[in-house]
Amino acid sequence: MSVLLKVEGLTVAYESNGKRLLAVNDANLEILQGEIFGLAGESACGKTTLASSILRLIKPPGRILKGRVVFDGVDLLSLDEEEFRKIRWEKIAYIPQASMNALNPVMRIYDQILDVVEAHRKDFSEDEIRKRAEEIFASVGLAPYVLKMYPHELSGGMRQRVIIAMSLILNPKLLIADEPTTALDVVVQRGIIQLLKEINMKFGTTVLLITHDMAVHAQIVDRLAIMYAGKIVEIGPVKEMFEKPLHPYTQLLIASIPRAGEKRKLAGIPGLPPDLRNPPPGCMFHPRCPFMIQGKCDRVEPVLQQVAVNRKVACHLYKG
Amino acid sequence: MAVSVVNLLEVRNISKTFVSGFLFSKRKVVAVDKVSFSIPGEKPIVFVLAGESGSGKSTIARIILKFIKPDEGEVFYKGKNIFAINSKEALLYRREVQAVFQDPYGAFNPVYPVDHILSITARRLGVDQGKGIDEAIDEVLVSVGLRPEEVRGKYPYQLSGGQRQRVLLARALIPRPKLIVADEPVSMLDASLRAEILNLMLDLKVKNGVSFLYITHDLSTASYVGDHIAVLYRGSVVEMGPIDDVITNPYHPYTQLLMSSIPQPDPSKRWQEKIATPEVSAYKEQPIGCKFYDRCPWKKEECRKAPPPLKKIGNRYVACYLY
Repeated sequence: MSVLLKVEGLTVAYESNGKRLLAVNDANLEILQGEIFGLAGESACGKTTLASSILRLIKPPGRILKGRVVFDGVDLLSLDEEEFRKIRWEKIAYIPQASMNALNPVMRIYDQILDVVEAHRKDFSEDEIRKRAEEIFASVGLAPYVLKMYPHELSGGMRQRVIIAMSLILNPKLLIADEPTTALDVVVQRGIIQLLKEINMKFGTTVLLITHDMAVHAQIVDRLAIMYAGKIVEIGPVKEMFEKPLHPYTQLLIASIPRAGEKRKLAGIPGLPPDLRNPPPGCMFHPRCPFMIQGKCDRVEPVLQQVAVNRKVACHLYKG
Repeated sequence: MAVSVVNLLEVRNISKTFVSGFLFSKRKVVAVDKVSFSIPGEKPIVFVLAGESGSGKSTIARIILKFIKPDEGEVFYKGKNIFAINSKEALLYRREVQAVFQDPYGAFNPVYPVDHILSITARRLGVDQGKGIDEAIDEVLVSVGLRPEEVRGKYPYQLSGGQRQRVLLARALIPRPKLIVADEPVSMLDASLRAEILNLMLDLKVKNGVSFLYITHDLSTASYVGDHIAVLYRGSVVEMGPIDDVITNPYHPYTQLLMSSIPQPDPSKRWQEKIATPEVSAYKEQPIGCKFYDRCPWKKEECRKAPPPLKKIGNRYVACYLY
């Protein structure tokens, strides 16, 4: 499979009161054409900052310090605004967190879709847009009459389907979805997960799924990246990562998820993520790591390296 | 009169309807519909009240905490109706039944150090005989796994979400409660911190003898800490019983749907079959018969006529005509 999106050495900083914190710290990853790629990690680990830098949505006090984002052979960060506008939504669609609550309450759904299409494509006639909207609605499981409704007439799950339909209207190659199931009930959540998988199969859309919920990743993604304190600490096929997590943080994270019907004692991870204004030297995880090697982990920063077929980890316990 | 062990908490047939809109556009929403359950008093347990958004679980919590009155039905604490007790008994109830809520970020007054919320509780509700307020505060902080010197004098913004939720649990422990109503106490916390708070709840149950009414939509954490469960659907209990039995072998079609929709954190246990998710719009009128009728794969004609009663089957209760 060919690489659709390549992130190289991406470093994003937020600055306040003269202090700089690295929200994304030298991130490297490759997303393959046609896969569902998961990005996991706990609050404030940099998942959303990473996604919004791909779409060039970082605003001051945030700043991309260095790195490249190559999409389909094009370096996105070097494009001018007009060139980039053609890629956003047409090639890369983005579903930000809680966007189902951001639909315009006083506009019918169809008019909001019309707005999106007209902003990007002047060459579509109204008939074409309507036909396309009805087709997309059918494939996300919504009846055509929903187009005439207002957002408040829809349940949360339906609004999320509307947002997904809107993101697909211009047939993008990559769909970035940030916590698309987080505020939904489990039964509705299952429907949305199922839908993302169907879209991936039916249209061949590559999906970057961002969520803190490891169970959701386990259900749908092909490959998974784990972030901790701005760093990508592990990347691999999701099955292998759950069977044999390599990074101590991944191991502890998986051990702290409860499973329905199991009473096994949950470990949790003692301590807290570091304050990124004063990051620890060496590995970001060393203050909480049970396998910390004195003199090494607290001094030398581990780099993400290949340790087995398809598996990368940033940890001194493994040799490349 | 037969001598029976008095329940710690007994909720008997409570209902609550909210009315919204004005004059001709008035709409009634039945939030809680004849709900009954009890938490036994012999030994401390974690009783789970589970349901999706809009199932009425938080309304039940607010009734038990006396924030609102039910339209019908009663709530008994140690055999006494909490809406018909004298002020002395009411103070005792306030002491012995405490609450912890979802949002550890919004519960604090940001301009006071976190001690404030602890000392107010200690002053209002009193502490054990012979103990100073400071001593009592240090003691509860230690019992929730915090070091008093690291927490006292700190402002809320200086603590993490997990630490704040611990402080709120510590606050609830000051008057030596018998029951803590915990409404989604871990849903805003990260997985690694969540496990620690859940373990703390189990610890407090065993060491301090505190029972919990754990209100949640998350059946994975419920199954981890819970002993008993009542599953709510649109204001009614559809199934109730020992949690391990209900989760591993659910009887009610809604409980079955709910259990099969929990994503397993295991890529080798992915959902195989597709479920049809009938998308209902945000508003729907209250049906006369079973509320799950529209979504039920086994619906029959009789299900539409009257709501199914909660029947005892073995060690649990189920409201479904299939049984």
